[in-house]
Amino acid sequence: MATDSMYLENLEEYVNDEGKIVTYKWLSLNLHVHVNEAKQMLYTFVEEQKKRKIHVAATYFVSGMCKSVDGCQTYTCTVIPEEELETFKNSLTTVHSIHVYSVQKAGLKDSNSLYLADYDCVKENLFEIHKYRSIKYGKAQPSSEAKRPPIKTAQEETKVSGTSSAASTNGHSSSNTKKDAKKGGIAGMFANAATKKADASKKADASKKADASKEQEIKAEINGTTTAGKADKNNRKDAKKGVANFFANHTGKKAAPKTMEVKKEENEKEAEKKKDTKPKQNGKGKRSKQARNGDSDEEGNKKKRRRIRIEMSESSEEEMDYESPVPSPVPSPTREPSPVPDTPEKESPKKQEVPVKPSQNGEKHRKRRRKLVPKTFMDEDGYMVTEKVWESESTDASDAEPPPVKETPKPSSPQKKKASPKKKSPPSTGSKKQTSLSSFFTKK
Amino acid sequence: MIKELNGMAESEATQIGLDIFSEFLEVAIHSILYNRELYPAGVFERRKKYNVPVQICVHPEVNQYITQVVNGISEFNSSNQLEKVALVVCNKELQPLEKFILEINKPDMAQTQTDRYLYQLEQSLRSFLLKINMADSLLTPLPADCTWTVHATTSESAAAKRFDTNLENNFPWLEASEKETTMDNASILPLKSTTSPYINMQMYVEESKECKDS
Repeated sequence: MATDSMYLENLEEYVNDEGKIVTYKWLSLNLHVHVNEAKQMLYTFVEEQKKRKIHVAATYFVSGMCKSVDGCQTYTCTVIPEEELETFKNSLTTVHSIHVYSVQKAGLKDSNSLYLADYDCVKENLFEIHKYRSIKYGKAQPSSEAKRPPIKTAQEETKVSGTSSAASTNGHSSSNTKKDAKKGGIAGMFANAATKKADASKKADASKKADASKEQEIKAEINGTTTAGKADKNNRKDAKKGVANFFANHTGKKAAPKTMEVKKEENEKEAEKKKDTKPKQNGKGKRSKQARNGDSDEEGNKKKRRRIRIEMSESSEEEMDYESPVPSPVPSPTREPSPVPDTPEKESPKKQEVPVKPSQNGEKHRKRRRKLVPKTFMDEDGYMVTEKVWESESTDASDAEPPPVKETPKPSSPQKKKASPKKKSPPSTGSKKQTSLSSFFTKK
Repeated sequence: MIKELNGMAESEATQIGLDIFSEFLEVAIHSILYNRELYPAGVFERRKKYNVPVQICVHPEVNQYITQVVNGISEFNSSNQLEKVALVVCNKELQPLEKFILEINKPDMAQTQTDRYLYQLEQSLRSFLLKINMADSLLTPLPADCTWTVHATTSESAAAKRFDTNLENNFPWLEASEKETTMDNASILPLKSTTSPYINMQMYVEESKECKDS
């Protein structure tokens, strides 16, 4: 009794003197009480102020089944101001829970202030916020940073499903509800909660509550509606979370180190982008694609560089240009299937530009090349041996350069085509031998 | 807004404070317009600032006016000569009914290290916005057909300095007359104050109950 009256005095201070908006969440975190107790305190406070004819405005949280629209029944959770409470209750077929959401001195213009009112408090206690609430999952542990993005969506889904299925009773309904008997399995959990409420309720006026509960037709209360209610109020926030998850998923995918997968995805998505087949994801999808393109280009450049070097080293029989790593000549968004024929063309003129520029700059620029050169020499035993040896040759930047450079892009550009076309070429040359097979099919 | 503010030069810190103040001023003006119903609620759209929803006006001319006002004020502020900024709500006869006043003082730069990532500053600006939202519960409602304007209290030299450039921009700041600045029987409602190393300001509302009753 004593603690309750103290709490109520505090409440009065907060609301009347400081002009605060007191939400039940804020109250529970600040006074370190269970949310149900906080809701109860708010309710008793509202009733007392009504008796004293002091005006306090309250918002209520209402959840229930909506009347079916287009044959589809929806379960809604809404925070509504006092004035609209009755009309809203009438619009629902069944009302599952009503409780006081917040108390403030004057009516609120919109829900901005409600969100603002406990923003700081909630953010500070983000990981302990379940201390005072009934919905708990013991095995839930905050995961490490790396795992977090893909898990986020799964957690949200489980939360949502959890809220719709679970239900708990508060002090009001413990004495009156009939549905408690039906939910036998969960009743054990509620028995504990109910005893808690029963103790608290004994201290406060029981008669008041009995009247109130009859008026409010409380059947069961869903604590999970804290999250759902917030979701209702903060639709944008969830939408933004959705977008953030979208980005997060894509960054998660990017982290996979396989170049081929990345390229395939990007090929598909860039083809889609070209076709404009996805109107739904226009806003979000395009942004994400551009973001991905921007981010993955650097990765792609590095990977493409590596690939080119590997390919160049594979083809050991041809001349190799010992150029420095090719940064700019590899154009960034060139992994699209349609402009693939463009890429060798793009690269070859660029390659030509690069060596041509040094020659134009002057003849001071020297180029070093490794050439496979057959060398003949005398062996120990006096035998003549001819071997092919790699030798580095330095040549002046002279007129002799452009023609050999022109030759080199041509053989290297087919190298720079994708590995798959290259792999196809040996079978294609080998197919000459298999013309008999194809002719076998054509006969039919 | 999250920046690493490591051993900054004082000039940089002041510049940050000025920029943040201008941003905040713009958002505060929009919030006041919404809360005091100076424009119909339909003109406002919900946007996000400091991680919370705020109502911002969508009308282009109103926005243009507010941007020019804020630019002018930030110019006054850059020379540290700005004392007060007031959003004055007047009735049809141009008598001031309410003034939302922001008093600005020179911030104490010594503590920049304590609020490196500007988180505390963001928190205090959020509470400013919340108080603006709550203010209408403690103020008497405004009559219909009110207009509003912004007054800046600054030193004469700063005003003279900016006069020519403002004239060029077609947005001159004129000296306010006695009639527009004095309020009879004014009472003060304090809202909030902050003493961050970047911004040192307090906000209160002066309202003239006499005029409102008439």
